[in-house]
Amino acid sequence: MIALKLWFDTRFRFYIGLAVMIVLALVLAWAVPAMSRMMITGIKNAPPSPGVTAEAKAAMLQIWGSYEMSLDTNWYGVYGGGSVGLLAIIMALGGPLAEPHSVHLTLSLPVRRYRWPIAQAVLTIGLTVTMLLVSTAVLMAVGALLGHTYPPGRAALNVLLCVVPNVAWVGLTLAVGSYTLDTARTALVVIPARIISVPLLKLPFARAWDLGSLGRPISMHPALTWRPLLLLIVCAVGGVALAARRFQRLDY
Amino acid sequence: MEGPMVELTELSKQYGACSAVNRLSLRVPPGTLFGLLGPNGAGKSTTLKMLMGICRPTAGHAKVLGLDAQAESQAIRRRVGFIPEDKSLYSDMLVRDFLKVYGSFYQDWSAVKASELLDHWRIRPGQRIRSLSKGTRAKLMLIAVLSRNPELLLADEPTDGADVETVEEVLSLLLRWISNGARSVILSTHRLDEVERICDRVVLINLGQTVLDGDLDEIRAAYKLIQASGTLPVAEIRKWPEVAEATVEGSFVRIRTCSQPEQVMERLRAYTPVQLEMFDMNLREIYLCAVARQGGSSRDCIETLV
Repeated sequence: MIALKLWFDTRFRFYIGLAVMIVLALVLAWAVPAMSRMMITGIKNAPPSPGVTAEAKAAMLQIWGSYEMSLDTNWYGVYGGGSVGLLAIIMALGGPLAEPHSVHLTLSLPVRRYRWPIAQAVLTIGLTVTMLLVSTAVLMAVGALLGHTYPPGRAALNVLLCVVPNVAWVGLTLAVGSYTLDTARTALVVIPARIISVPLLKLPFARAWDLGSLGRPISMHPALTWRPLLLLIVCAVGGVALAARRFQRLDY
Repeated sequence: MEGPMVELTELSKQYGACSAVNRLSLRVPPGTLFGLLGPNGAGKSTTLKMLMGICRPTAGHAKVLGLDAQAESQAIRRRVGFIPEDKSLYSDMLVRDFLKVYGSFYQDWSAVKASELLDHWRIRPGQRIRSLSKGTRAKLMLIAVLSRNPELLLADEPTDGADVETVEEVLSLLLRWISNGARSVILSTHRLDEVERICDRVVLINLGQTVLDGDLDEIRAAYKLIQASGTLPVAEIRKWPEVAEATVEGSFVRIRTCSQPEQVMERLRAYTPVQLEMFDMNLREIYLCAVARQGGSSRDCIETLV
């Protein structure tokens, strides 16, 4: 019942997001092998440079020479992973916390208020996983048609790893939404923050805390340390709990 | 059920410095079509929201179906139907999706009944709610609520924005629905004609305070307009406890009673007036008279009461 209501609220955003992801997957299925060929040729023909060691050149060739590595870098590391991050936030926007006209109707339904933000977080994460899984499946299927294979188990694991940091962003979005009670204002706060977080995670303090390790595909993944996981849990659980508590206490 | 369906004791709601509801007390017996009447901003919607647990009272106590409106609001929401003031509903949804979502929250919801009512009012399930008129949205909300079997219906301006025909249909449906005697309706409205037509009991509120409370027939019997001419001690008449208002208009003295009009007539006859007549007052006049008696300004009320 709660899920049905929230699904009707979110489904158009989900369909649009899924369409965007599928288009991206189709483009990458064609572009990754083509880019790999270009990069390999470029690296091989590059004139010797004092800044580029033979080892670095070999590592670059290894990445671009392997379809799996190229896909990890481009799909999970950049395009797919990055897009799904924004789409998760977009799907977490709105809901009963930001219903301008129908909130009294929603609050008259026989549901404890705190369950709305919790259900919204679970649904958003579920839809984000689905979005990335389906688009990855499309990417793999088209890649297979073009003669490139990628292990399904590794794909599924990478999907989960990519979605993990977005759980925290979903929590943060709900928390901000419980203060603004407005979709547009929440989006104006959270989406720029999400974009800014990408370069911020490369700063020394973030590196020291290993914060950038979350969301990377398995091939680029160092062993997970407790600090990013702790931050993730605090943001996700804390954000949803805060939203639930505020929604429970709001006086309309 | 035995006992009142709704019982409010000194219920108050304060929004900052503004008092939306001020020590409101009332009882709604079973089988009653109860009119909660007042101008815009009188505190009607806030009262209904407090009954549904949507907002919390600042002071006082509310019981609905014998349950505490704050502590047991979820159980209340399961048994009570609520028509909110804002009928935008879920405007992006189709009619059928809205009913599906709404019905999924209630075990006693009947899709067959909803379908019959949709057919009766010729509302197409494939229409988007956004495209419906205000009156049709009010009907749709009523369909959703009455396709369940709530024991009590809290209807906040259910006919607001509806045309005459829709108003008639909605009121008839409410009357039919309540006819089994076990259900009650609290109808919050600023449309006095609706209340006058269908309600058994009324509470008139203004600025969050009760102005008048009682059986509609008893209220009508108590509030009368007496028109007299002759030499009458107007200043003294104004002091009679049965008199709400006494004004001099031309050669006439117009006296509005708030109780025992026959007794007032008797006392006036002692002054051998040239002319002495008693008239019924409509609910609008009664309301304004009660507000004036309370010491409030009736000017604001006139603007929003229709």
